[in-house]
Amino acid sequence: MFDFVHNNKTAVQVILGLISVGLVVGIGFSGYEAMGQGDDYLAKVGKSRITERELAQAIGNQAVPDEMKPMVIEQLVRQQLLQEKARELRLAVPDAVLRDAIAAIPAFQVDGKFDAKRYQEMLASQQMSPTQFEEKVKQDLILRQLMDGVMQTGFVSNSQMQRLNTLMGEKREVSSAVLSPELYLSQVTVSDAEIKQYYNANQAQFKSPDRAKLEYVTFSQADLAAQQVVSDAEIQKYFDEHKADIAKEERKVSHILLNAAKDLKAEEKAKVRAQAEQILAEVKKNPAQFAALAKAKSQDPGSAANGGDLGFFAKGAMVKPFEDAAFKMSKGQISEIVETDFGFHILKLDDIKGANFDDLKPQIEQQLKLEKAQAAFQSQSEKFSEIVYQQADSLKPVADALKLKIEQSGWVTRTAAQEPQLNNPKLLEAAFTDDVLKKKHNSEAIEVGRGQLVSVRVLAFQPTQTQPLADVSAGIVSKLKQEKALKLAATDGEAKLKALNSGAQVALAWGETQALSRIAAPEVAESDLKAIFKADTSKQQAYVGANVAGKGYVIYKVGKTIPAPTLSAENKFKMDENLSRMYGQVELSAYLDAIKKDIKVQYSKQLAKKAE
Amino acid sequence: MAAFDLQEQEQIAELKAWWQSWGKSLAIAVITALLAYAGWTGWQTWQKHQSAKAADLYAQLQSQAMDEAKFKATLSTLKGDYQSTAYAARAALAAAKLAYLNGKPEAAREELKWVIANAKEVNLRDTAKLRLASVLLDDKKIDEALTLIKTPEEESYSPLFAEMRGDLLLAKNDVAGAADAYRQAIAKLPKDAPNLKLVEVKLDVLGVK
Repeated sequence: MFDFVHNNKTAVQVILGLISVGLVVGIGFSGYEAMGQGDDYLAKVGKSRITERELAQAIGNQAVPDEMKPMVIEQLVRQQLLQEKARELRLAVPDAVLRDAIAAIPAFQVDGKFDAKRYQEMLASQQMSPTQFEEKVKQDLILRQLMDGVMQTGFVSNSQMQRLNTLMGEKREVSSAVLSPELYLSQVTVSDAEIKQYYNANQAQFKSPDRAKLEYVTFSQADLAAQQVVSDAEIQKYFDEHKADIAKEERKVSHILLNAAKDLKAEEKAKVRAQAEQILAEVKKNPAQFAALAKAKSQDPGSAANGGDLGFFAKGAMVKPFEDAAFKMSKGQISEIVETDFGFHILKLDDIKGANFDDLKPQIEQQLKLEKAQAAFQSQSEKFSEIVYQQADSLKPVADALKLKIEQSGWVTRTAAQEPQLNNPKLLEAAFTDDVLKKKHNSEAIEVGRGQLVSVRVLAFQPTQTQPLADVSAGIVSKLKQEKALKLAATDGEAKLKALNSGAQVALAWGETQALSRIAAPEVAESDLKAIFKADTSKQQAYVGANVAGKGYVIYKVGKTIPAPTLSAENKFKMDENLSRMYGQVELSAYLDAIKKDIKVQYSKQLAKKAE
Repeated sequence: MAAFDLQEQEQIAELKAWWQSWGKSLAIAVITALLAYAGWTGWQTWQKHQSAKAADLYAQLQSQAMDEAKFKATLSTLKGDYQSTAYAARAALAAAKLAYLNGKPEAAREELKWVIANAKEVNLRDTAKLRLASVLLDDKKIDEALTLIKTPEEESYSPLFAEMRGDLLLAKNDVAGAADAYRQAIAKLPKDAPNLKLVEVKLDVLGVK
């Protein structure tokens, strides 16, 4: 549980899952939204079905939030469409390409190189065989071929690029003056009659929601875990059994290597061994000279210069005989001759690093507690549900039976609670049902999170009420004043705009001049931007005005047009890349739409079509 | 030898007569069917084999972009011996891009024309037409381009074709025509299409009400 698979669980899930979804197929996902229950499939593409299971698998066996479902489903539908098409086109992946693609996945690498052992461990942790995984990657590569044929081969011709550059690179000098409502506040008054009228017309705003104070018990696996007792013996046992995985010991070794390839003749080999024995004798006589000897005699070009130092490594990194020797030695020891496929080694163990029992103890203890709690929770949660249901007039029986604490909440509404474990839509719904609210029964046991059950009772209830006018009139006044001031600002602004456009002088506090482009202009609404670029500035400055939400009335002074700079080679390259990618997406969508015509796609009834 | 009785002899005679007149045709029919079946499976296997070989070449091609001689050789093998596979058209599209980026528009045009003439996939033919039109725009061969992209073979390509038509007409100074084409594109593009905003700007700039 503590080995790297655990630590890298998310990484693996992301890889295995997103390897598929990562090929985000085409654009957009609007059109469908998840709701309700229905068929056993989410969508059907040709003859194959996309079910909840595939959905979860696609993103690495995690729960898919409802709001994300339509997007993921649409992605899966598109993948399926492409797969059918790929079959029809007989696309294939050469073995060499498949091998390179898998070797290039960082999660399967150790020190930047593909590692067969890690590969198998990673897959095993996902209950997947190499054959299954390879088939999956193959499918993905095939989809890539299919899509890349469209998406990676696009380019934008020079003349189009020049034109787009002119459009997107052209700028206007613009400065703006804001007539904010605050400037007009002193000019407005609000009468009592207006306040009253607003109050009467907007009663709903002044209603406080239904509120209730609750009493509740929480039964959680985490609490249960804390109560579990784990003996030192159990911890020791776990440690001993899982030592290789969890302690992850690393050893630092120096070596002297004399090359002797596997297929070398026996007598040649014996000669090399004799040389090695000689060096070993020297080393044993004078261990302090190990580094110097390694430098002079070792035939391992990678380490000789560093006195034979190989650095720290864990099990699995070295060839078997070497590893066996290295992990048997004690610190400072020098080995006998070790023969591997490379030749003859003399090893010296410089250092050992790794978590020891004491360091890992708290982690293991926590792990064992959790495991115990898991089992206990399973059986006791049924009891919890039963007691709160059968003895529905009080929470005390269940609290006594399972040694739980009865707690009290602050005010909760139908939609929100301060306490995190109560702030759950299902629970709040239950709290306001007749059975709980009027008959004063315990709510049923509700799972508010993984391994967390809650049951509530209503202690006090305060039905909705309208706040009296006196309490809210100050708020109404400022709101109405703001509205009136806004109107004044707009009227005044429009008058000033008219004056400016007829050539009159108007004193305004102009802000800094900015150069705005058609595409990106912070803080300027799209419609205003359009007006700014439409303004005719060929003879003189032009003025454009608009109400801007949250600001007031804004007058824009539109000055010179700054033509787009000529495209530098670098920008051209970037632009080509961006545009090609963008149009690649559009073309792929068109491609998918065309496939959809040939292969029937059927969405489940629970995915109601959104009326756009 | 126990002789056949009369009835049996008659039956045998009938059978013989039947075989005389029909046996040959039957044998031929059976053999033809067998041959056809063998031919069909053979054809399937052959096509699969072709496709696998083409996939190999296609993978090679992708690593040869920097080596013009090798790239060209692989490409011509694909286009020649594996013309019917999905890889040939894809390779030609990739080659067109490479040629264009290397400043060889005429070579790019040849590749694109090859795709239009030879690709089995309708989609790829439409794609190639769009790209060819944009290269033709560079060369001011606007009428040729306009003919090329009159209507797509696949309806789903029509917004892209309309946008391109707008670009072409504008290059001819047909502002009204261009505006019209852009409007068609906007009407047909999905609301979340990444190029929608760009087409809107293209239309806006024309200043046509």
